[in-house]
Amino acid sequence: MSKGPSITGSVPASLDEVYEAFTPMLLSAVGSLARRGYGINPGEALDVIHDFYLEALPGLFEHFDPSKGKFSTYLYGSFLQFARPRIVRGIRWKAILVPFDEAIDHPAPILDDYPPVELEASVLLAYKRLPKTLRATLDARLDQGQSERAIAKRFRVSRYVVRQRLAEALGRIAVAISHDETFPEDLRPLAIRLWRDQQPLMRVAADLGLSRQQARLQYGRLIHSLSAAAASLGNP
Amino acid sequence: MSTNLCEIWAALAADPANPSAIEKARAELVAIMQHLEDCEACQQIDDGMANPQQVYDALSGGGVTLSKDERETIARMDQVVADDRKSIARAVEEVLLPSLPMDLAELRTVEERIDRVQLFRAIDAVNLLVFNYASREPRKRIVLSPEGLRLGKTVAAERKTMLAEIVRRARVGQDSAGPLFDWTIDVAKICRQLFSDLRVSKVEGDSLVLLLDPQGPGADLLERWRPDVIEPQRAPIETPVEIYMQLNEIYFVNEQQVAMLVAAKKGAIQLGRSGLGRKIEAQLKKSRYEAITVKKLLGQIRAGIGKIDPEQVIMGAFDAAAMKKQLYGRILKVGRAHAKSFKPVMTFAKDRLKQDYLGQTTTGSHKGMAFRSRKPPSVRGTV
Repeated sequence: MSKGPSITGSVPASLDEVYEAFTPMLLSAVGSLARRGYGINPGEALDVIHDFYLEALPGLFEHFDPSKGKFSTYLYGSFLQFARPRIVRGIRWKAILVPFDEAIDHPAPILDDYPPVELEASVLLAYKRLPKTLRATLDARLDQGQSERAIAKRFRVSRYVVRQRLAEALGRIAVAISHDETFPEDLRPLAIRLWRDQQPLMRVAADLGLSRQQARLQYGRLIHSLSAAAASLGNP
Repeated sequence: MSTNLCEIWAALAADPANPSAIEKARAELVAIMQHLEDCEACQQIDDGMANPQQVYDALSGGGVTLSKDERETIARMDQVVADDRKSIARAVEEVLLPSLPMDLAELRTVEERIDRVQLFRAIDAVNLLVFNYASREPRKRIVLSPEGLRLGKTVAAERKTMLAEIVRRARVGQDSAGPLFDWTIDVAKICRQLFSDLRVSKVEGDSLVLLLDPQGPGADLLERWRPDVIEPQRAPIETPVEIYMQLNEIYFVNEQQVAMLVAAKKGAIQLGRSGLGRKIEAQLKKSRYEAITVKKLLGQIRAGIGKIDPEQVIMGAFDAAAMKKQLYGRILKVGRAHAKSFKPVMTFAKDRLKQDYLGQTTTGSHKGMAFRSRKPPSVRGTV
């Protein structure tokens, strides 16, 4: 039998009660997922649990049938289904957003002849075509230098949604670039592999035969062009 | 209040086994959860957390806990085996598609007509057909490409055979089979354990080099497709400067090791433990030899780097390939002269040559070298 508060078998009375009673149990669920290869940092785990309470709990309250089992088991199982795809997506987005953040926070040196006019024009065109919410999120990160947390607060969404939008915005820009013949040939494969295929920067470097320095420089040029596009367009 | 929560979180991160840190964190768990939403400082702590598993274990106490029976029930429910058609859609939806980049996850060309189970059956069709052919000739190299299946130099199954199997098993139209087959190959490049009985060992352009790896129908797909086995990392090529820095680290570690062994030998002699002293002496001899060898290598590489325009080195614009080949040649030369005592240098250089010039991934034979290049924390501060 379940131990702890008496609410294990029935639906808890309030959200506060859920927070107090079930958060440790859900952290143990994250621990069990991590042991099975779905690992995230504890801070991110608390984010996932928080999002689960906000997004999934109302539906669980509604659909819970006490005749079929205990609420705690139902909650635990539902959480696993909620958390697993988030963790998987988070790992993939991290591969593209970590170098993206690093390039924004520590810009690479730009040579005199870079970025060429074609690069600026191509990126600007792709940037303009982004849907409004994606462009606003990318603007906030690139042009206004806001953190994921600050952007989440500003747009009243979770950090998960902010990451999703950033990854999608970069993906859409890469797709647009892949069809743009004027885009510089030397940077095209890097942009596509990084942002459309969501491969980690150093793996792309290895596959393209670039050194770490060369990859960082080329990546810096892309980010520089994105920032310039964001600055020239202003807020949507 | 926030500072206090930051402190509690930092204390737990630093020592998740400390009972006092655990108690404080458990007492403030809900407040910490809300605090983490806003606190950038705690983000830094989180990113640098060394033992996340211990933190989960520490924070899992208190509140509702599940009984053994309940846990077993959940564990039974929380797996997807390949012969359980009902739950396959769940594994595709929960793990496989989220692990894919946008354009593959969206299934643009086939999504409207293909459901998740058909998707799995298409993957399974490719798996079974390849396994069926390849297991008859297990010693031959298995290469799967959009053109079909090759075993060694022989074409075992053409594309049309693969498509026919997909049509039959996944019950899809002929026009969907082609995009599904191409999609399966693209996904296998990312998810190396996509197939139940095969493992992707290498990607060569559009082709997959496969190994037989039968798991049987009872294998859990949530386990098989888990993200930490999805894509093995391959190191990017390194410039001479980067190699120099790595060797420099090894040199410092060796110097530290020599100093430590000298002190240990002295201690052993003072304690009258001559047997131990002799063992240490043998190790010391080896370490000194290694330190000298690395020093020579460093000298060689420094000389090589000295011939390049420094600005070009920084910008990475020089002919890295030619330069590296020359440097590796020197490493091999010095390594050969000291081959008996310094095997890692040889394997390191050979592996890098293979990786960079022949396009082969390393076999891990320079693992010892990689380990040695990592400085212990005490050494890190002194360099």
